[in-house]
Amino acid sequence: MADMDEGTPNDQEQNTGESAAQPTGPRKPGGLRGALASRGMRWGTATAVYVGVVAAALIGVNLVGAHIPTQWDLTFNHNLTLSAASRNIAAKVTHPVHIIAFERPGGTTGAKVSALLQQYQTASHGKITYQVVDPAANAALAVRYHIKSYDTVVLQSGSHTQTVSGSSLTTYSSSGQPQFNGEQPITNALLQLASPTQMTVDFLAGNGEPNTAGGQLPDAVLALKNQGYKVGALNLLTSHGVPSSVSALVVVDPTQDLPTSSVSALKKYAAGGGHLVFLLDPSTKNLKNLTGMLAGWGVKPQNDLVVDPSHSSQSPVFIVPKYGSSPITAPLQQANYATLLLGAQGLTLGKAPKGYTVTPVLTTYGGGSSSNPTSFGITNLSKLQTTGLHYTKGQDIPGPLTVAATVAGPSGKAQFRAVVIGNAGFIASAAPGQTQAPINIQGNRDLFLNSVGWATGRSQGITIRPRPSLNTQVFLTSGSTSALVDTFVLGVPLVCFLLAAGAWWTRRRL
Amino acid sequence: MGNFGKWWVVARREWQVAFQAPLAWVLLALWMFMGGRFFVGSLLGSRSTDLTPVFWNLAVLLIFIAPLLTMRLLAEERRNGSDELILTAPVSTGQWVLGKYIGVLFVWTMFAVVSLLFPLATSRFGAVQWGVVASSWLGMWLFGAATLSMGLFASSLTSNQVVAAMLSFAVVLLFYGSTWVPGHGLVGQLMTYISLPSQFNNFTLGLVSVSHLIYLVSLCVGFLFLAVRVVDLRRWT
Repeated sequence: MADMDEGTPNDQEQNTGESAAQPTGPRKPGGLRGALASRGMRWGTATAVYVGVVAAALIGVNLVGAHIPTQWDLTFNHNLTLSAASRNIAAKVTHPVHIIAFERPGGTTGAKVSALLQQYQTASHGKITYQVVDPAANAALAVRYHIKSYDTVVLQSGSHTQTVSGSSLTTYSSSGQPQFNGEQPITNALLQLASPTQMTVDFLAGNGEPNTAGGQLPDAVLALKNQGYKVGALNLLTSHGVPSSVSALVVVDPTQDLPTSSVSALKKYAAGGGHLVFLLDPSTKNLKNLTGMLAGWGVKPQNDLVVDPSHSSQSPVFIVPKYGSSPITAPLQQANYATLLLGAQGLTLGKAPKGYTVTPVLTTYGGGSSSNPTSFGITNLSKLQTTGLHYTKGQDIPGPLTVAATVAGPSGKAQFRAVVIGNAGFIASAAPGQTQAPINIQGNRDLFLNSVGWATGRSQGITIRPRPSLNTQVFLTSGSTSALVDTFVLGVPLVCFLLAAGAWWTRRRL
Repeated sequence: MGNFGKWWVVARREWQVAFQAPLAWVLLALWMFMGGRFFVGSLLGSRSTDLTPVFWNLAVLLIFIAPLLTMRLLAEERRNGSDELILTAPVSTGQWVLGKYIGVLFVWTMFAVVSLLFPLATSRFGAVQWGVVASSWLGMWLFGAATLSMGLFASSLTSNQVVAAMLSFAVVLLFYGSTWVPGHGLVGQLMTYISLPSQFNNFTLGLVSVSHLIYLVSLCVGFLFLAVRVVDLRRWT
């Protein structure tokens, strides 16, 4: 700006010898020619030209700048930056997809959606386009897509449409704090557009498992729904078998053993190329039917409590296992996300049936001495309270221990796939008073979704999910509220007024 | 004295004059009073350390404060005839106007720095997203810088401070409420683009975009340039 006058008519006039000391002298009458030649007219013309040139330059800079996608996401966990997985999915879009976000003008959710949609567009190299529309101002468009509320996002590709409701863009923490989580449903809708067939994932019920239909495990259920799965519950005693429409059946920590009829139904489902995910905590009860079935596939739960003091968080039983070579954990390893399992049991990997493959997914660390191994499994759970978390040679199982494994086979079109994880608590939602849900810790959610994704064979489902937001809840007592009012509504303004009075008094005395 | 020194002298003088008069302190008091009410209301209402509503409201208050901070800058010089002295002073119009702008920008920066008391206090009661605070603060500062440049331009148009303030308010309101007029297609996109709230919005979310930085800096440059041309035009016609 300091050089803004360089090359101005002022300089030009001084260069031509005209005196700046006579800028407003009387103009000689000379008609139009004289007027055009007058200093005022020349300055006016020059100013108009300058303003035009600078305006054009600024408009040009903005036109270019508006297409620069570079931005810095300063949010906690980069919640407004697309994950690599979503970018990959967007990059693989083959047919043009147009996204219409029906947003309230100036709304926060709309701005966040826009920020994401811009990144989808960039990642797709223009295959994905978007527009943000105020449904009140564009009623015809809103009616056409049956829009009933703000923050609804419609994805259209050819004749196929997918609608993301406003409620699915926001999740709520255990403390009730709303958290924008728009990436998951939008990416899922993109996946749905690519393969319109919706997969069904059922949770087994009737044997003391968490009642997902009754609202238990809400975060796990929502995570699956956000991945595009239709989620339900299945009681084998009433259904008399696993319906063929079920893409995967999730068995979460039954507290009672499975009846033989249920085991038979599961074996039949497995033989037909079924997909099963078992999440099993150690139990003091004898679940011989369930254990026997799993042992038949080469994975036998040890029913012990895994302890690893050197690779744990807060408690020796809150273990951080290491990843095996599996597509389930490969993205987690790549993104450097740990999984934390509280109260896991080990799995004994036996001989798999012919044509089947058993692969360890999560293991504890080996090492240490024979009397003090790095990790171990305490087998006597009933006496745990009295014996404590100490290794007893000859009784407990020394590490390394497998805590998750997969079974697959035989190779062919209808391949049976099962994931067995010796822990169920890692998909739990936050208990009252708990600041963070176990499923939201590090890569726990990813471990669950990747397991289901691998079991169903939906390779694109094996991804890193967006991270949850920071817990921003505030606890204010009446005392702290009063202190805030006193400081900010009274104190600071009063100080400023006193300074104003001081300034006024000083000037008055001068 | 180099070019830097010339506008710096003007800026320093402007800054000192501003705080030797009661107006800046009174405006700061009102701004913090209103900000304090929003702040406490936001904490009690949302029970969250999210300060987005507070920064929004602080920025909206600028619509009223910026005209009052800038109305004096050039209008008073013109009324007193002291702008004629620039003709003989070893400072160009550009340096003079830039100095005035930087001076009032210092005043505004002090306002903005004081507003950081809100997130600092909030951090005592819960986890604050400092990244979002930083981007919101930057957005608010740029919002203020843009409105001040509009105010300076308005102040260059008249010798009457009240008229300057009203003109400034009108210009700021034009850029603030451009989306209030329903527009479709290209016009709608243009109205959204030039709208200060739509540009500010991403900052409050924690996103700092090159495009938004370019727009807000462009506004500052554009209105400063206009102010320089107006002063120059008046001087030489």
